[in-house]
Amino acid sequence: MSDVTDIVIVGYGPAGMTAALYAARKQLTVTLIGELPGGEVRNSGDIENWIGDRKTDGNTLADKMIEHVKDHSDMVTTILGKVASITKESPTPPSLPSGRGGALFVTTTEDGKEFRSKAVIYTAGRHPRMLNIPGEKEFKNLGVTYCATCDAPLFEGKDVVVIGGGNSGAEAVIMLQKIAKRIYVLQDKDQLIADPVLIANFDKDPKVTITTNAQTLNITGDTFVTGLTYKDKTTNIEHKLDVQGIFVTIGAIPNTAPIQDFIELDPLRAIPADRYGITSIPGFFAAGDVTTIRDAQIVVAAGQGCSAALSAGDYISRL
Amino acid sequence: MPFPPVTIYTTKSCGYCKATKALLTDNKVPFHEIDVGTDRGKAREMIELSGQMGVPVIVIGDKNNTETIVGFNKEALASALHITL
Repeated sequence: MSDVTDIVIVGYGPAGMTAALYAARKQLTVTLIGELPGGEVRNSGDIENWIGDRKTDGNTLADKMIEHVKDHSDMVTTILGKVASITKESPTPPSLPSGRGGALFVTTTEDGKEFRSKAVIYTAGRHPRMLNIPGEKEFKNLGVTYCATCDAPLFEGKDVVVIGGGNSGAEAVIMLQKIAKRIYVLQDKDQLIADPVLIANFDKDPKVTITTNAQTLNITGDTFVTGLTYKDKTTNIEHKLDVQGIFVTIGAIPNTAPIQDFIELDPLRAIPADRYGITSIPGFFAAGDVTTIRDAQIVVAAGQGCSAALSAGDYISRL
Repeated sequence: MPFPPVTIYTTKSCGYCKATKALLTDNKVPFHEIDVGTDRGKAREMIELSGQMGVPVIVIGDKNNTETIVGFNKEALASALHITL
């Protein structure tokens, strides 16, 4: 069955690419399917915690990973596309090498192409969480943005607000310090939760105003964003900010829609997987930010991708 | 078959822009790049053309027949360029 690859990897980020590299070195054939070569790491901005590179950035690191995977193009086929669903083939074909058979996985992309494989490693990552407040959808890309790395340069000399006090928010503020005129930071908790080493870059900058216990209520504008209203949760008083840019950095949601009927997800829609990438379905492995991982870090995703590939290799060798 | 003129509005750090450029380069599609992060006039031009502020914006074709694509969108690029990507 020449149209069957050993492993389909879903996701073109650090987890998926590391899995592809390890699988290829085990002489396993791989079809790697992803929407954005490099994945979300491309939106990371400056990176100073990838061991071995004192200072790099998301695009440079992504490009290096892609080139590394390309070295194994004899084993790894990459497909630019969006996965629509994953199922198991039925009835079970009897013709796998051991003669014992085993159900193949069928991964279908949105353009209708089907990819059959003995195992799947799902590493589809996460997408930015929305505020779900009035005005957000209407002004998306009209002042509301979820990618500071992409869009910050368009807000030169403007007043902007960064919503979210985690590491992504802090990184957005640092990026905007050189660009925007005034930066408001709104955090719904009683303190910022970003790493202190990041906060130290801006907490004494006079053009940065940090407001905690702030609940964002609505976004207003004409053609483009002109303002945002929030409520101070300690006083219940509403405040209006006159801003032209709104950077939303309030976390991310696992990209599990294509498999929501295939595997049980946790309440936050992440895939429960153990430290070896093993899930509740034999032959279906998961790695990176799409799992119930605590630390959404590039190095952790890469490590998980490695483990998942080794687990998949072990699984296939026993078929 | 020669490709129509392709202009791509980008910012330096934008990953979707890099991925779009890589896709065009891999398929030998020539393009002209404009960095809107360093040219405010061109940034305004991009916003007027596309009616929005997100990058990348890809403009394909000449004045009589222009297609504008926003974001990294393989299918839209393939359709506008009449190629398989």
